[in-house]
Amino acid sequence: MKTIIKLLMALLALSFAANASEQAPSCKLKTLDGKRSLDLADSQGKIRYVDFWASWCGPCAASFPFMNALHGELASQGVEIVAVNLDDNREDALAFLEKNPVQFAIVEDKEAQCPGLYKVKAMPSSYLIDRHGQIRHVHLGFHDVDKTELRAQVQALLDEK
Amino acid sequence: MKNKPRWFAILALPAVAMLAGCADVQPWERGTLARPQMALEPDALDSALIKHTYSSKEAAAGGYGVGGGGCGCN
Amino acid sequence: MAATDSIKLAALTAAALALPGLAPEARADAPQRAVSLDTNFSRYEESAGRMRVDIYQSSMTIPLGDRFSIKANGVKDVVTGASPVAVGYGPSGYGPRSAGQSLIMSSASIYDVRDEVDIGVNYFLDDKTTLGLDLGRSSENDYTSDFFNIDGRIELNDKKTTLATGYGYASDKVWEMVDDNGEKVKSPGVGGAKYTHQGMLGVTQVLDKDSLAQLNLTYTHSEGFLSDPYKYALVYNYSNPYFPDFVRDSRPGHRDQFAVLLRYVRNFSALNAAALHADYRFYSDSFGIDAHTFELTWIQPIVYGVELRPRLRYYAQNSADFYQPVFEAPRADGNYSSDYRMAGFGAISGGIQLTNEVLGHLRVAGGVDFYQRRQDYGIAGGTGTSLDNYSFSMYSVSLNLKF
Repeated sequence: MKTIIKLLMALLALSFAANASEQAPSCKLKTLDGKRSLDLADSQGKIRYVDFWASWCGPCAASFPFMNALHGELASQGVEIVAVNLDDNREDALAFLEKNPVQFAIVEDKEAQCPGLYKVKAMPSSYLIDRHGQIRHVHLGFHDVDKTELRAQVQALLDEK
Repeated sequence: MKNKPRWFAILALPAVAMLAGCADVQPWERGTLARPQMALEPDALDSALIKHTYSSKEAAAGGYGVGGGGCGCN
Repeated sequence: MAATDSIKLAALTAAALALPGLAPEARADAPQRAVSLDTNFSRYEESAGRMRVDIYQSSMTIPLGDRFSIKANGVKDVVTGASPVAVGYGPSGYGPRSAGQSLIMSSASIYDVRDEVDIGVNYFLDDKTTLGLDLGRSSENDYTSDFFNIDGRIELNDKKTTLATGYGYASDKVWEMVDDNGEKVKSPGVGGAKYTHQGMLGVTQVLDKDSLAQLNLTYTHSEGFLSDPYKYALVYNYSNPYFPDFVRDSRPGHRDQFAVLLRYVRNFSALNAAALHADYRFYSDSFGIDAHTFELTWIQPIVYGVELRPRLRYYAQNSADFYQPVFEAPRADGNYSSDYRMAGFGAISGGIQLTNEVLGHLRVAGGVDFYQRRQDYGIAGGTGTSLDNYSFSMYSVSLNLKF
């Protein structure tokens, strides 16, 4: 019986792989420096770009400069980038950030509470959340070609009222 | 080829066991598996050289990947 | 009696047919965004003044955009030394049986250079699928090989299962070079063409956060000249009942080979993320040879960027159906070989490698491997002679640059 339930839940999870047009699940995390606490779903009227990453994920190194550039340009217009670190060891995350320094918020989730709620299917995974807390776009992985699309999607969400 | 069918059967068992007894690993839990020492070939040049050396000196060859021509090892 | 003269005059590369070298696998694990350069120098030395090879390897991988990466490899082998040519009696090979069996060696003035180049491209169709193509050529003074291979990989089951398949084709030409008054010339009518097809199917499975396993099945089919043009076998009662003859090494015109490889990798986080690699390969071919290979490698990170890798290997094979150190009677199928690689034997080898990462982009490594082949180490049975026992050592230094 238990296996059947597990199987059904897995199938259910698969059917919701994309997860767009859903209310962003609430998940509270502390920033890496320990100074503040954030709820991933609480965008407070801004556009949220939530990125799940880890030091061992190759494409993450490419996505960080892009996200930093986006932060530089659009933070003043109401775009907030929150990168959720899923490393087991803090030191690995800190070493990665030394090589890839960024200005946007980094939160840590060592126990991995949030990726399950957000049904993360790949590393990295980015979720674009609109002003009303709805997940509008989900990107699995990161490639050079995603940059233009992401920029356009963020801009479109900003233009909405 | 002596005992070929029997050997294949014996080796099929771990293969099946491999697929059956697998834990659920989430995409964010792959940090350890991503480490360079966990790669099947952590040093491509070194392993290609040593394997080519062995296959030049022994009858058995292959199993690790396809191709490469190269030595006249009859 | 011309056979003996040829043996003495065969100043050349019996070694050519036993050259260590590179057979690179044109496969990349994931789209690499970095340019990587690998170089390696290795020295291979056999015991008792047999073969010595200096190997120079270099490899370069360059990503092209998000979807392609190209790879180029080059190898140069410089071979010197001597190699066994036949088993006979007494120093000439033709001696009386009372003189005892002896190994007839080629002259020690072998010098041969082998060059190999291959170029490959990998296409990352999407996050799950990779296709690869590789083309190459190897040439030395008595052997050329033109080859290509294609392979594909697909990741399923949330990237926990990877299916791989590949096909390889090689078209080779083998001939004999002999010394003619100080000049190296090709022996007419010796050697020939050889064609090889190879297919592989493999599955890799993530077992849990700390381990994975792989199963590969490989089938190889070769047709053409599969013998060794530098080797001979002593056969009694061949042309006459009084004296034996040295007959050229003659093997069947086709060969089917099967290999099943099982690999297991496990992480030990409590031991500073050390990893254990354990492999077992079963091999069987239509020459009648079965072989077992067991390999263990331990990768131990010491401090940041420094790793120690000890390894151990045991190999055993039985002998080919047409192998004997010396033949008491001719064979109906006309196949003869006294090649030590067709004999029954076992081999134990081990080595250690030290790697060090410096300046973030450069990795330096050095290592040594020792190998001991003995007829009585085998568990697979078969026949052979302890005259063929030898050992080798291989010293290696390599540099890897990533930027």
